[in-house]
Amino acid sequence: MDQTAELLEALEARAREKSLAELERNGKSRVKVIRPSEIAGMIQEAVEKALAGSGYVPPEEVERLVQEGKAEFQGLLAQREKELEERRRETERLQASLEETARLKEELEGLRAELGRVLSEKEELQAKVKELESSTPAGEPPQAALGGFNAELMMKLMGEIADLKAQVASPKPAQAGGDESKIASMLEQVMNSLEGKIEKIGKKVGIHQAVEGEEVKLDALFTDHGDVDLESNLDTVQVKERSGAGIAANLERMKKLRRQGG
Amino acid sequence: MSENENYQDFENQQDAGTTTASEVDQQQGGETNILLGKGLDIGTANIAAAVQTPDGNVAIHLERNAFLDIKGDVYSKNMLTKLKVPYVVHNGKMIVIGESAFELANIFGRETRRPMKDGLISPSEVDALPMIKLIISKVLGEPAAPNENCYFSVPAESIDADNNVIYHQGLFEGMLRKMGYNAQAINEGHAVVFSELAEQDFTGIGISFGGGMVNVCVCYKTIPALSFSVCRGGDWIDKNVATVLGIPTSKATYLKERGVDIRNPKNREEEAIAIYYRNLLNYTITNIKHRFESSSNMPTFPDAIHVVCAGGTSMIEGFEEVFREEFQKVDFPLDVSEVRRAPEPLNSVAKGCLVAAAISDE
Repeated sequence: MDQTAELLEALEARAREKSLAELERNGKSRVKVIRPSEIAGMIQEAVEKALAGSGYVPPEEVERLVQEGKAEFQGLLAQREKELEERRRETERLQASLEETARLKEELEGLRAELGRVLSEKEELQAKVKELESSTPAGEPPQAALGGFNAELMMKLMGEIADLKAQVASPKPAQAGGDESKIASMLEQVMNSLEGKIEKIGKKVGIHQAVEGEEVKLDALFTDHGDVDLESNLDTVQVKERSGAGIAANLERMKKLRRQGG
Repeated sequence: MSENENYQDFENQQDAGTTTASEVDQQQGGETNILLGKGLDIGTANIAAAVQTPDGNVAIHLERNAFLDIKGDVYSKNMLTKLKVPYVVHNGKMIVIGESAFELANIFGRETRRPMKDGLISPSEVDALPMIKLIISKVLGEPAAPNENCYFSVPAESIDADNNVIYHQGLFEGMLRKMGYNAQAINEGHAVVFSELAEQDFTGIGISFGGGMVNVCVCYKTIPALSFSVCRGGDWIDKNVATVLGIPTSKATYLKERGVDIRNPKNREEEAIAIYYRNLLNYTITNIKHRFESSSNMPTFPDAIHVVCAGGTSMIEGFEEVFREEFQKVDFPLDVSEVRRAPEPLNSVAKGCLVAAAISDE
């Protein structure tokens, strides 16, 4: 298409306009017309023929170059499209991250507001308690002033907390048959149960706590039970023999190591 | 591998591994000097027995741990005997054992039968026990003295498979005791340490790259601190290469052993072999590091240690360099001053067993 556009431009630049009336005056009632794309095709053909005829570039080479050019173009096009797709995805990811960040900021704000509210409620309650403590005479239950709180329960809880603190500060000796021995016996039960389970599993896979007995001796497999001698020619055939380097040095070294080892 | 070995056939002597006191007397002009103790490497791919010779060297008797059942008739028996191919008639079948079984299998496009699988006696091979007993009898021979010490190699517990090493060990202890030996087991990796780390006071890491497994032992002054195995070895490489190339496993073994440089593979077959070798080494080294880091009772090594590799699977050309490359990729928790391969990788475990047997007599 680019070639056609360029050709069109070139033709436009070189062409002259004539009206139909002028053509008729010059005796032309019929004229031949041709499209720019057809001219481009003719030029292409001419170039190829010229190249083929020149012998510089064989037709197969031309075809190969054309195909290579097309393939390269397609490759570049695919690469650019891929890059574009990647950029698009990256943009989407960033957009999603931004949205998530905005949402988290909003949530944080909400939590801060909640915290502020809780803190202010706490302050209010503390103020109320101080007020009550200063206004109520000693001994009287401040139940009504606390707006429904069960002061008796609170006193009981505070008493238990005090006991616990006292226990931590000076622990009492454990009683006989108390918690520790209970825990120990529970642990023993658990261990026995685990051991039993491991033993079962071991037996299934062939591993067990059995002690190894005597090593199996297979000598009897080679006992001569009076079988008939095998017919053979082995007595007449010599085994191949070759000579190797001696081992005197090895033995000497080993003895030396033994002496050093004691 | 068979092309590169320097074999000596003892045509006019007794079966290898048997030396009577009187013979030694004659050889040494009346001075009796029987060197007792034998080492036995019971490997998935090969069985090797080591014994000290009066001249101070070590004689290694090696046989492939494989057999093949073939059609038996009188003609075949005579032919095999003439060709010095060892066979035995068992349950009505004629069975070729050892290296010859491997060669025949390749000729006929068949798979050999293996008494051992993944480092241990094969539970699915019905003829495993009688066949392996025959092979061991052949390489080990009779004891030189009653109750002669014989240390045999066993793998460590695997960290990537649930295997029963106790049964395997008990079986061979019984077999060797019945043959008249005082049988003791020693970890394969530990045997490598005994054989190759004498100058380092038997301190360092010994790794045995066997057919069925890789055994690792971290040792401090002869005491093993950490031992484990992984269930990948030469057989794992063969099986995967065979799968990738669509060939029998025996063929893959043959390709691997005929001469490949895993640093520089030249064709698709060699590429496949190199790929799986590298994977095996990376797997082994990663697991060694992981075990170090997760073990709570590792000794503190004051100096940098040596790492020694041995075993038939390490014999391939370029193994040392590829091992170092893979090692450098891993941030190892110990200082390592040298990574090397044993000068006689196929003999190393048997020699280490022999060291253990000989020292236990002292």
